[in-house]
Amino acid sequence: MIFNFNIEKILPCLADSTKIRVVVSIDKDLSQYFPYVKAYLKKGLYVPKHPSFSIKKDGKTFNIYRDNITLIKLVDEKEALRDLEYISNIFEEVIKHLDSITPDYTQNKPPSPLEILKYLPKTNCKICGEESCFAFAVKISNEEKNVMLCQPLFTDENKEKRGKLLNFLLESGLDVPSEFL
Amino acid sequence: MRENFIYLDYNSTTPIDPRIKDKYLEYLEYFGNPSNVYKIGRESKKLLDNARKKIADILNCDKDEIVFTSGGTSANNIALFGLAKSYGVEKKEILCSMVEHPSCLNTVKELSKRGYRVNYIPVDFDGVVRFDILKSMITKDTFLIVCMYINNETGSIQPIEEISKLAEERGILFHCDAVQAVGKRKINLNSINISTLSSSGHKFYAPKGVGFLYVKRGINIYPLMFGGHQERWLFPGTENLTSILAMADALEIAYDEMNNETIRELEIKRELYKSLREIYPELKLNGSFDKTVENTLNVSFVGKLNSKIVEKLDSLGVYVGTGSACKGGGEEPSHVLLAMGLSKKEYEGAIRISIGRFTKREEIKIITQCFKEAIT
Repeated sequence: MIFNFNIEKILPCLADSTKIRVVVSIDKDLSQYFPYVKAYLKKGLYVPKHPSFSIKKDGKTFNIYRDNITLIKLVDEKEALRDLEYISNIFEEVIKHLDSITPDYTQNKPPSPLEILKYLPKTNCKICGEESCFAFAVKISNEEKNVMLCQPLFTDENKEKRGKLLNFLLESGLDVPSEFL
Repeated sequence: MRENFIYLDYNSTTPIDPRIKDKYLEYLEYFGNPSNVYKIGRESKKLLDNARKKIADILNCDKDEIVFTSGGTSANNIALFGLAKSYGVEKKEILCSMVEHPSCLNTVKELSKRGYRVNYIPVDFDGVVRFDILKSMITKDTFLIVCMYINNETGSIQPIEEISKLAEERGILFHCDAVQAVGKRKINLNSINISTLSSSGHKFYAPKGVGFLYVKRGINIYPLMFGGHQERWLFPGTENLTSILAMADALEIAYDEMNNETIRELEIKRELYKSLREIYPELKLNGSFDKTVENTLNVSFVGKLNSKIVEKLDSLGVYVGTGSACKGGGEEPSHVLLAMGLSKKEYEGAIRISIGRFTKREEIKIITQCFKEAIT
């Protein structure tokens, strides 16, 4: 592995006692490579101010910081070792091809209301408490309201739209209820 | 119960009542398989029947309407898949509350993948199902309504009676996950139209791994599992006799002590809420006092992160829950709190305190002190 690590904490996942959360300290600051990894993977959540980089894999989330990595929703410690290997391999690959990768320094932008509106059922039903679907989309974009308040979206008729919108919001770094993904 | 910590997560699970523990050890002697025809088998069968009758009498239903399961999740799965297979042939629409436990939510999600149409019923800001919207959602294709009795995260009590009446009027089946209600509420199944109702023993001081499903007479459930004749073919396999007997006793105790216990728990809840507000005036109550069960207090330390609070409390020996699941950067928000319309700052700071039989009033002061330390 490209870093040495030490398992600092093994904690239960708060709502799923069958899963664990593992915090490991690492001896190598990988933050300079975050924009390269983002460009290389074409996905992930990069927050320059921390700095941090989050990757998702098989329903698990790995948050990489300067001096530690948090691995979330794991079954056991063995899985943590496998996932650390996976993270190390990605960074190793990126470092190997550093010259050919154009780093992506952009922070994930909040989704625009118009993009959100595209996936809303546009019934203007006001169940969410807003005057229109557009007003609701603005509130979602600003994280003042969450998508679950849109009742028509949570009907079978709009199942496809719901899936697309939830994934879109998730990719944009917003909180969504994973139960409905 | 161990005394070196303060346990405030009774909605997650309860410790076995010492009286039940003694009985459980006693019941271990009855090892005979209830299906066997010789004496020790017959003895076990008799005990099993008595336990079934005890539970049925408490809930005012017939003993043949009680099916023993391994807990709430198995009961919910047996009911939902079974009802869908038996009744969702021509009609395909299921209405399910947005705030159900994952054992129902994920089951209806699976049914949705198998061709059933699932529409979710929203809740109000107190986490109570919008009955007005539910009524408008019913179509000629609706065959099943799924709504829990009491929410596990907020303690919000759902309008079960109204839903049962509506279901009866419209000829729709009604499945009720009553895992958080059995042992905390007096349920009279003779006066309410519920098709199937699930329960789990470890929520009312019985051992884990045992529960039951009430199946109203006349309701046919297609089995989810196949094997022997046990539990009306719905939960085949040799019965978990020891735990079933302990569960029946635990339910009896819960009912005998319910009136006094609910009053006591409500007093502790009120006092604790008042104390927590004193140390954190921005504290937000999630679900109002008059619409939540006596033992549950869901509050948001607005501006704080619940994961940090829980971690600190854990180190201080105070165990509370959150409705959150693990997620990148912090905790994934609870679908229940999202459905109630909480803002990010509110749900990020949400803590579920659920008290119970062994919570002592004199612990309030120390709990408050620990919270004070945890939020500093």
